[in-house]
Parts: sequence; structure tokens; C-alpha cells
Amino acid sequence: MAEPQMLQPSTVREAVRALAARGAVAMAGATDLIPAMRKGEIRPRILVNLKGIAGIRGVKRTRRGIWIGALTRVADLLDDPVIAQNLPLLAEVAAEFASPQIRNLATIGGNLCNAAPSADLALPLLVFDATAEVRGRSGKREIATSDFFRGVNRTALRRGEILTGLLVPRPRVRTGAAHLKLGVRKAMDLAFVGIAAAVQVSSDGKKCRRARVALGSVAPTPRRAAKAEAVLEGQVVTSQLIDEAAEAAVSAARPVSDLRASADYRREMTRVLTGRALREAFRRAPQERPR
Amino acid sequence: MRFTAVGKRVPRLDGPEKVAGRTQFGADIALPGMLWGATLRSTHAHARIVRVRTDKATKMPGVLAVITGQAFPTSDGEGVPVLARDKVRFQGEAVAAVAAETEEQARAAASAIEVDYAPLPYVADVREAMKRGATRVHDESEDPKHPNIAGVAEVKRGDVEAAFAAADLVFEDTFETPWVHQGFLEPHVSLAAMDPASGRLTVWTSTQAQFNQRADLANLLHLPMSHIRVIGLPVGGAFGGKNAVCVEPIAAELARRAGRPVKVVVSRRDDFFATRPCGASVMELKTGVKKDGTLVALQARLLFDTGGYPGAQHGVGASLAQGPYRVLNMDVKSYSVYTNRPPAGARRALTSPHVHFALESQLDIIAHALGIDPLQIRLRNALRKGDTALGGMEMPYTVAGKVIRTAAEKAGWQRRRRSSGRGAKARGFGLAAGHWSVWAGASSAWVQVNEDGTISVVTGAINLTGTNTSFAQIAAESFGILVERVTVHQGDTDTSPRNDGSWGSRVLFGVGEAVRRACEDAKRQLAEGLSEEMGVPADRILVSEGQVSVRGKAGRSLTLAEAASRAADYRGAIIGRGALSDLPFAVAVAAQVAEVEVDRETGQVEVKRLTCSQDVGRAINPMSVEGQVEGAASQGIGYGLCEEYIYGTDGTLLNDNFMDFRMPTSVDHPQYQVALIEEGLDGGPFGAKGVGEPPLVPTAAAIANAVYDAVGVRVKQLPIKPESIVRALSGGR
Ligand SMILES: Cc1cc2nc3c(=O)[nH]c(=O)nc-3n(C[C@H](O)[C@H](O)[C@H](O)COP(=O)(O)OP(=O)(O)OC[C@H]3O[C@@H](n4cnc5c(N)ncnc54)[C@H](O)[C@@H]3O)c2cc1C
Repeated sequence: MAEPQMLQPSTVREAVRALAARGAVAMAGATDLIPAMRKGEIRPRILVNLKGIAGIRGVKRTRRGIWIGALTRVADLLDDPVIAQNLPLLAEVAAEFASPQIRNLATIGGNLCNAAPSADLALPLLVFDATAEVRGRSGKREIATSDFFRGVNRTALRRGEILTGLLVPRPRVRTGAAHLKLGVRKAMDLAFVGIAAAVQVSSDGKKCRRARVALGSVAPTPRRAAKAEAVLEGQVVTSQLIDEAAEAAVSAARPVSDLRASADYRREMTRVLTGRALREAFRRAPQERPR
Repeated sequence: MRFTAVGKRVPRLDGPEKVAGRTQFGADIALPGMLWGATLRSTHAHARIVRVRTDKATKMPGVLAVITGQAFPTSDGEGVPVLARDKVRFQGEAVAAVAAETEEQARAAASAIEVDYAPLPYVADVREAMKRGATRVHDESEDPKHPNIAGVAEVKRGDVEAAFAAADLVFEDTFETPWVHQGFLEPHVSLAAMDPASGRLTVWTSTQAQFNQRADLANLLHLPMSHIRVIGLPVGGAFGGKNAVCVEPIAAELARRAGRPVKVVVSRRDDFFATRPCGASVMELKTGVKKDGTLVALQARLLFDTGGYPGAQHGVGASLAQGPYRVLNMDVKSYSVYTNRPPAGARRALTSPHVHFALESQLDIIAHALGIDPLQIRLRNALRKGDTALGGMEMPYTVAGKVIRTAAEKAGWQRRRRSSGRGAKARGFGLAAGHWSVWAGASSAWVQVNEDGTISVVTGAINLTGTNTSFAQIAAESFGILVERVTVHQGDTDTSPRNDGSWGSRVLFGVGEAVRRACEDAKRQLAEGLSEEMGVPADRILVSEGQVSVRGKAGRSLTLAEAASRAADYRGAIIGRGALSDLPFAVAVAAQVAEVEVDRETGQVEVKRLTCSQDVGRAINPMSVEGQVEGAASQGIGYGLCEEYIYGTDGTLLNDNFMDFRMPTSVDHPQYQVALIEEGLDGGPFGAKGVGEPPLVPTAAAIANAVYDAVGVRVKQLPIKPESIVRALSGGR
């Protein structure tokens, strides 16, 4: 492995300029990057280390919602008070992410930009309708997280663009959310199925106003299950309705068979976990419980 | 008997330096002028080597030596060539090696070696390999019908046909276990240097058996044994995977040719697919029983995958096939079978975990079919004193039933309640037992009484599991002094007495006894040395509680320090010697109860509690014994639930790293409960016997039995996969 050149920009502008060079690759916590380089899957000529850039790490309340800097480490999400108060699901996902050592390095931006089908943090961001904030040579733009993933390890980022932050609208009233992940073991494992659900219930708690379901590891990208959402929205929530939604979620799955699980099992678990995540989300929605 | 040092919970003496990161492992050491070695490995599972061209590699920058199969005309002690000669028999087999100034140069040069292969069809499954007309892994095989049989062992006893005819019921089941890595963290690593003046070779290596290494290296390198010094390094995990030679001969031959020291560090990937993991098995059992659960006949065909080269699986498999039970009529045929997989090495308890997974699962099947409690069927059949066990050996005492009962009692077996639990979760309990026979082998130790009254113990046994700490306790007990007054040295092949390898739970049993005998010898020498001065015959002089005194005469005593310096004046240093190979086999029985929670919808199995009981003879250091039991059982959980080699259709190992080869992490472990049974009936030190292997033996079966108890699904193939549970629960869809 030829040693790549390492650049240490201190501003987004410098980073973007550095990334214009051929063979230049952005580097955050490097927990995806180093293993990929070791396996020879990528051979960067230049590594642009984003960790020295001020202003793209941390969590802030803004007028448009909660802003999470792309360089925020997974470990930071675990004990951030703004996250705890507004987006506790993100802290829950972070708690099941890898191991403390990896969480101390891995960033939320890296998790999204690596665009693995199993990217855990993509799921809560998808169900909260988060937007990716991107900077390139031609300036800023925003991409809905539901448009961000384009394929295995492929995103909507253009050459030389970096992700600077994520904007998550503050969850609406009477919203409950949940995340479930199946792996072979409880830690240090990538999900072979991951599901997140967020639901908003009517003021009497009976109806589902809004529903979001996101699936991980069962398609080339993390993705929403629009049909499942449609089954729920505007309906009176019953156990049967949840089962129908869970069934509908399976139609959004395009699983493959691999080392970790077969496609059939993934499909079946998409149904089981979607049902469970939805039940938990409704249970958490601060209203009466559905029957 | 009351003990002062034995039976105390003593933290591992080498613990602090390990925790502080001060231990120097193989990867940490270097010599001036050191080169790096790298190997080229076969990309084919089975192919003839047509030509190996090294000219390009030889001319690459920094390269000082290149070797191929010609460098080693003989194979190692287990029949495995160091570098393939005519044929490669598994993917990853080493074909050539290079020494260069830097690791990168060595790797680059190794990959510049050109090998022309003529690929051959390959066989990857023992059942296929046993078929008539199967692909031959070894051309020179003598049995035309079964060319891939590498070894056979048979156990015949009683009249099986008649016993089956007289049985009330006969059960036939087939069980399968996968290839697994032993799970050691430190990859193989060796450093070799040859002194040009004397022609003496020194090899530093992470090994379980330095003296065996020396013997193997002498053969492989055609050097006199006296020209070889092997220095066993601190080992970062081995579990049987470091019994045999690995890269030692490669480092040594490269060092000899290059005239400079050479270090070889095996990569994680190579360590997974190209060293000696634990082989797969297929076990067919046919068992006849009476209605009351009495076992009357056992017929078994055991197929152990030994990979591309011979192994010892069949013999051990056959000898353990009856489990810790009385079976009067047996017909067991056990085979090691060649396939195009890596050579199967040892793993904790060799094939005992395989065999007991089959046996203990089937015993459970039988119990349920007969409506007998799984505990009662085991107690009914448990080995008793005088029963024939272990391929003909007679049981010297009765303990199997007690071990099984203890596990059940401690786990609350009688009060257990299967429950459907919350939501989709179901709880179940599973019981399994198992055994292992501990062979002390050749064991030896030196003990010196220093003039300050401290004791130095020297052995050639590699300290894998904290045995040095236990040796200190044994010596402290023998002299009646504090453990802190004893130092234990692991010598190398030049500086310590010869010893067999650290395997099979033999070290504390055999070498521990050698230490004890060496202490007694030293005490005798002290007494003889002081007899004249103290004016009494030596046999009236007593060494105990750190004092040397005259039996029956109070007041005339010397401290150990005074005695040692005076005795040394009269007779030179006091050096006790202990060497033995006369200990009989010690039978060690373990039993476990697994309490699991199974998610009926996802099939996920979680072990909530694992209760382990074991007959340990005597726990010299209970802390370390419990560590062995919990460690082995945790390995059993991995074997039961998640570990397996997954191969692609072209014979490539797909999960060659610890991310994809999933071992349980610290948060995947249950609460362990350990009950040690100490009856001290064997010939080991203070009644101790081996403890490391037995607790891996029953675990996978206990989990499988618990899964059945919870959800009624019988899994006959390890690992137990959530997917297969879900499929079975939904009616095999
Ligand atoms: C042992 C282990 C366990 C793991 N467990 C999990 C797990 O449980 N769940 C999970 O989801 N993942 C897991 N991962 C994967 C990995 O840790 C995560 O994806 C992590 O969030 C990646 O972040 P990073 O900062 O390390 O990214 P890096 O490795 O630095 O980068 C990843 C990719 O994103 C690009 N990139 C990074 N930041 C930016 C940016 N701001 N703008 C543009 N491009 C960028 C890089 O160029 C690279 O292509 C695990 C990895 C390991 C090694």
C-alpha cells in the first residue's frame, strides 16, 4: 500500500479545494476508510483529514431544528443534552453502534457518506426527515436524506463535495419513535436487518397522523418503506393495521443473501421487526395506547 | 488436609504486566539487522504445481533470500509440508517465502513469485470425500475404495447386534459441526537468527510446545538438535492452534540463507485460512435403549475433517464416544478424512466437543421420547467405579453422577419452569455432560532453595493459563512459605528441563506434580545436608512452615534461609529435581445447564445463565480454575451459537477476520455459575487434575437442549442459527 499524502485543512473551503485533486478522499474517523484501504478496495492518493475543521462538529438548536455537525462522533451523540432532549432515538442507536473504541472515532457524517446498506444512523435520520447540508466548490446545497443514498457506498455527493451537517426538524408533538437491530451478536456487529419507525398520533391518540418507516441492510441503501407508511397514515391504529404495515414494509426490501443472513430470512425479519418497531413507537407516542 | 497456599485465590502473577501492556509479545521484539519474511500462499484449493519461478522476486529491491518447497524435503511431525512441493491441497497452503529488508518489500517480492498451477477438482466435505470415486487429496493413498481416509480408530465392546435386538427402542441421528478458528488473538509470529560462527539457531516464537518445536526444526532443517535453541515467548492465546510448527521453519531457513535474523508475522487473514483451525465433523449415532432409559448399545460412525493433511482427530473421537456413561455394547468407527481444507489442528479438548454435541443431544432426544427427565437419564447411565470407560480404561472412582447432579442442583433444575416469557420470548433449560482424559505426559521441573530462603522454580512449560501462579502455590505449600517467596521461571530449551507441550489440560496435572516432587527432593537434600550439624539422621529433620526442625524436639529449628545457606556450604546448591511420566490418565467430567431465551419470531437465542460443575480433583488456585471454566464455556457459547468458517463455492474462506467470524463479545455472555468438585483422587499435585479442556465439552449440547426445551426445535447442526429455528417453527417453510 503506497502511503497516501495526508492533508490537514482547517476550513471547509480548504477541504473542498483539496478534494478537487485527483485521488483525493475525505477522511473523518477512518473506521470505514482504513479497513477498505487495507483490503485494497480503495487506494487514495491524498487523504483530506476533516477532523481539524472548526465548526462542523457538535450539536446545536437552530430555528430550523436540530443541527448535527458531520464530524460529530457517535460517542458524542450518547451524552449530548440536546440530543437527549429532542432526539433520544439517535442516542439509542448510538448506544448499539459497534463498541466504545469505534464510537470514539466514528462520525455521523462518515456513517452516512460511507453509505453502507447497514449504516445504523441513517435510519433515525430518515424517519425524522433530516436534510444533509453539503458544501462544494460551487457553494452550499441541501439534500433530503431520503435522496442522499444512491447505491452501495454511493451517495448524491458530487466530486469534491463534503457533508458539513445534518438538519433534523424538531419532532412534532405526539410523536413516538423506535429502532431495532438484528445482528449475530450484541456488539461489534453490523445489522443484518435494521428498522426505525416514527409515528405521530392524533390528539385523541387513536389515529396515526404521520408515519415513517426506514429499513436498513435489506436493500442496496438504507431506505424508507413508503407503502408501509401509507397503510398507517390517517387510519385508526389497530394491531391488525400494524401487521398490515409490517407486511407492506417487506415490499420495499430488496435483500441479498450473504454471510450474515439469507434474503428470505431478511424479508421475514423486515416484517417482524417493522411490526415491533411500530408497536414500540406507538407505545412511546405520548398518548393513549393502541389496542 | 489443611492447606496454607493451595486453594487460595491468587491473582495471576503475570497479570499486572499484561494489563499494563508491558508484556513483550512476538510482534514487539526485534533484533539488529533483522529482515522480514513473507509467504506466498496458494490461491487454489487443489492444484498440481507445474512450475515455480522465483527469478523476478530474487531481483526485487531488498530481497536477500527466496525459498520454495525444495528447501524442505521432509514434512513436519504431523505430516504437513512447510512449503508445498508437488501439489497444493488447500487454499492458503504456503508455496514459497521471501526475506527482505522491509515487510513491504518482502510482501511485494512474495507476490512477484510466479506459480503455474494445474487446477484439480477439489473435495470439501467429508461425506463427499468418503464416497467411492471421490477426488483424491493424496495420490499415494493405499485404499482404492476410500482414498481419503487419513486414519481409522475403532472401539468394539460386547455384542452390539444382540444388544440392539434386545433394546426397546433404537434412535438414529446425524449431527454436524463446522470448521472454526480457535479464536486466539495473537497471530502466529516467529523470529529466527543463526549465529554464523557457531552455526547455532535461535528461534523466538509464540508456541505451546517449545521442545516439540526444537525436535521438529531439527528434522526439517537437518540440524542437530543441540544446534537449536527455541525460546517460547509469552503467548497471546493459542487453544491448541499453536501446538505444531507454523512459520518457525520458514523464518529459520530464511535466516540461515540470508545470514541475518528474520521475523515472520502471520497476517490475520493468513492466520484464519492458512494455519490449523479446528475441523468439521459429521457424526452418525445409532443408540439402543431400554424403556427405563438404560443405554444398551451404541453404534457410531464419526467422520472428522482433517483437511489436506493427517491429524489425530479419529483416535480421540473414538475414545470419548461413549461420553461419561456406561455403555456395555459398542461399535464405534471413527475416521479422519482428507479434504481440500486447511490441515485441522487441535482446539481445546480436540474432538470431544464435537462428539459430545452429538451424544448429549441424542441423549436428550431419547429422554424426551421416553418421557424421562433429562437429568434422570444421565444419572441412570453415569459411569461408576469399575466401569469401563475411555477405550478400555477402568474408572478408578465414581464422580460422574455427582458432577451432573451438582450442575442440576445449582441451576435449580427441579424448580425450573419453562415459560413463554414476555411477547415472543420463550425460556428453556438444557443439561449436558462431557468428559476428557488428562494425560500428564513427560513433565519435569527444577526447584532451587536460595540462601535467603526463597524458592526458584524452573520449568520448560509454556505458561498459557496461569500455571506458573499455581506452581508458586504448590512450592509455597511444600515448604510452608508465602507465595510471594517463590519465583517461577519459564525457561527455554537451553535453560530448562524438557517438557511436553502445554496442551490437553496436562500442565498443572503433570508439571505441577513435577514441581511438587522437586520440592520434596529439595527438602530431602536440605535434611541430608544438615543432618550432621543438627546431630540427627536426615529422616528426623522436618521442613515445614518455612522452618527446618527436628521431629519431636522443639526449639532446635533453623529458618529456611539459615538452613539453605548452611546446607549450601556443606553440599553446594540445593536443587530439587522432579521428572515423571508415570501418572495414569485422569478422567475429568464436566456438566452444564444452559438457561436460554429464544425469540420465536426472530429465532435469536440468548444464553441467560450457564451453570457449570466440574470434577477438578483439587483447585490449586480456584480463581484461575473458575477462569478456565468460564473461558471454556464462553468458547462453547461461540461454538454453539455463532462461530463457523463460511466458504465460497470456489473454496475461498469468506469470513477470514474477527468482524465476519463472529465470536461472542463481552456483552454476549451470560451470568456464569461455577461449582468445583474437589475429591482429590488422582495422582496430580495435592490431588489436582487438568481443568482447561472439560468445560468446553458440554456447552454447545447444553444450549441445543435448552433451545429444544424452550421452543421444541431440535437443531442437529452447529452453530445453532436463528434462521433455522424460525424455519423449523414455521413448519419448515
Ligand atoms: C469494528 C467496526 C464496527 C462497526 N460497527 C458499526 C455499526 O454497528 N453500525 C454502523 O452503522 N457502522 C459500523 N461500522 C462502520 C463505521 O464505523 C461507521 O460507518 C462510521 O460511522 C464511519 O465514520 P468514520 O468517521 O469513521 O468515516 P470514515 O471511515 O472516515 O469515512 C467513511 C467514508 O465517508 C467519507 N466521508 C467521511 N466524512 C465525510 C464528510 N464529512 N463528507 C464527505 N465524505 C465523508 C469518506 O471519504 C469515506 O468514504 C463499524 C466499523 C468497524 C470497523
